[in-house]
Amino acid sequence: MQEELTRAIDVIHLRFGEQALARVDALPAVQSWPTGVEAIDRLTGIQGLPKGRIAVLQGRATCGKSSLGLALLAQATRDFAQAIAIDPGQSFDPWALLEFEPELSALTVVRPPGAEATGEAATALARAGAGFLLLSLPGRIAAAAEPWLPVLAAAAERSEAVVLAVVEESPRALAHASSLSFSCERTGWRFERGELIGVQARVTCVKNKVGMPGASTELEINYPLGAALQPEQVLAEVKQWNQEERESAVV
Amino acid sequence: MEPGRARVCCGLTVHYELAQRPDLYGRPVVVAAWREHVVCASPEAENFGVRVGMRQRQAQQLCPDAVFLDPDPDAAGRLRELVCAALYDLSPVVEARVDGCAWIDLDGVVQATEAVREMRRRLRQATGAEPRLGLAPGPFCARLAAARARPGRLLRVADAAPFLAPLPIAELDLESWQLEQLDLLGLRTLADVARIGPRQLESQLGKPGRLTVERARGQEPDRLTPWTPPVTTSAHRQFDPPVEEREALLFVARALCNDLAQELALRGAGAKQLRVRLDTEERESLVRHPLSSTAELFGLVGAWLREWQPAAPVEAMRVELPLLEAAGRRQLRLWARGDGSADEVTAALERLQERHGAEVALQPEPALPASPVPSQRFHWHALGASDAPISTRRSRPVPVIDENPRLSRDLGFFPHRAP
Amino acid sequence: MTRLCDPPIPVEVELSPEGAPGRITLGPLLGPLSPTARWLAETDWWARPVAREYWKVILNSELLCEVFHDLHQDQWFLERIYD
Repeated sequence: MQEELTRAIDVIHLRFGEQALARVDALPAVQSWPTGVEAIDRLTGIQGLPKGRIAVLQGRATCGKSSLGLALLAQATRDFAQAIAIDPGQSFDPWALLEFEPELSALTVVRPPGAEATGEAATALARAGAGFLLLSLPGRIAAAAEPWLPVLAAAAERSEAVVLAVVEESPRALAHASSLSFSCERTGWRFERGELIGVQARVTCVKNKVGMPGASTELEINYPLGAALQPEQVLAEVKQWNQEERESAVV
Repeated sequence: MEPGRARVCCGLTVHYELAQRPDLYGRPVVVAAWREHVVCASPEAENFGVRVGMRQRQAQQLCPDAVFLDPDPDAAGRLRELVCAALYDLSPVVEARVDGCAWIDLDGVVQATEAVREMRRRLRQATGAEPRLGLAPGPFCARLAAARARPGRLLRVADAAPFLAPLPIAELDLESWQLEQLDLLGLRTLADVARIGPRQLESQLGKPGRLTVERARGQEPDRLTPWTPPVTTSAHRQFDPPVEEREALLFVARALCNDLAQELALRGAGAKQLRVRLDTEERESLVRHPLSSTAELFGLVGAWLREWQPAAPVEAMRVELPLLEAAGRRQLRLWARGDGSADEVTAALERLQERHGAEVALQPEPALPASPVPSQRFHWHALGASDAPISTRRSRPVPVIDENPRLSRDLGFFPHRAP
Repeated sequence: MTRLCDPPIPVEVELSPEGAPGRITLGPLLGPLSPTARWLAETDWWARPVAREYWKVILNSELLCEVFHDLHQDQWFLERIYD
């Protein structure tokens, strides 16, 4: 029996290399990209978003997910030679990005005309080695993404591109293809002297293939009203929750 | 050749006949036509004494449980071409043999370490088996080093002579009668052969004798025979009975484009010209940026087929790529991780623009960031466009920009109502 | 932070007794509005003057948007969504 097992292992090593069958603690570590948003970096467990993987930011209505996505995009324009915003909904507003002090010369906005073109664009750019891809996917585009998500995931893995999808709801195919998923939920509106100045949101890591899921954090997202804000004033962490604290707080 | 400078890398995989059936890896397999000689055998079959050149019947007697396959030299040849194409952009000098030996010359290659890593990955992808790698001053020594490496590992030989010395004469590329001759002369190892004068052995074995001594001394008299890539490729289908439905033609066209894209991917090449033939009709296009993916190829082919009106049911479809971009000039991102060259990303964006229009890839430039009207805050420039910003509005014209806008006057906030 | 509707999307708005937008009755998003801020935007163009009354509103108690009333066209538009 032992001999047959040894022979089977030898065949696997011959055919696929020794790394095809290895102890869990011997697998190569996932590289991470520090996002510049400490709260998010802490949630992932690897001090940043994983390179070569798809991460998802999901949340309904006004919950701060786009603000988070833009903060990460701005950091990417400073860190990478090419940061791409894929915008099939044609609603990307670079003015909203200015609060995070981006390097605009590194930014390209791609507006593909439909679901298939969105997949084609994302895959081609991941394959070509764009450092960061922000996919703002309207519901109808996300729902039709199943055919191209595996190809995108493979292209990103090969080039180690960071891919972040921002969606209202993550369809099953996207949930499956992602290595990391954050759920954003507005926990309150923020008013000052009668004026709405921002939202308070809880961000929870609901899926994590590169670390432990379950951690949460509370963020304040402030909207500029005339006077410019410093980036750290736009997005501020209020409270860091871990899984146990959150559950006990709910109770 | 400089002593101690390892410049040739050899990758040893399974024989390309065996690579046609990766599902049989790990089992005794013999490739031989009925009643002919053995072309190749898997290591598991060789353990039973099966050898290349022996009669098929003898091999059957030695290893009755082996799987016997008919040779397919065309398939093995195609795989050899694919392997050469896959390695071609790692080094301009590439040679591969159907017995599973492939070499690249690393002389002048800037990032040799990465080239070796990529060679391993591409050989694995092409054959489905982990290659053994050897790095040595010349092809003969590199092959022997590879034969002694473990799968997926590289054995590096800096100085050929001491490495070769203890090896048996069976490692020399000689006929059996020549090996017997060496044995009769008392020459059992390469060190023994190296001590003989080249003329002396030439008198026994002919010209191969001289070359044998030089190889045994690590002098590497052999040069790689560089592979030259073909500049065209194509894929085709015959239809029996002939086809007239457009959907069927599109389905087949997509499959052909997929086959071609896989070949281009393995070669690291792109097509600058594309031609589609339906029986006697054809359409052709030159493109600015090379096409390489299924989506890009089918984007063009599918568009033509949708507007094509064939005069009669189609008996054959052929998709030809008559002008391939040489793999050596194509900037493949072989080493960089996570931040590919700007050129490649720009090329990918420009290919998208060719397919979907210039406005698919835009760069924002601040115009009036403080304007109260959002559409005035930024200009959008199509990637690669010179000066004039484009309008991204679908239905309304952009107002002419006034140099002194009166900015917003806040008349007071509406009394707050809690949601 | 926000998504911009470019060009802005025409909507029909029912006003509250105070004259503020109270409900979107026709458009891609429907429902009651809770206004939270208001401002005017005017620019003098040599060809096409722009005068808009902007409102920041919360739609259906969950979605923060910006709508504006084009004072020249007397038409309401949805311009921005905060999500």
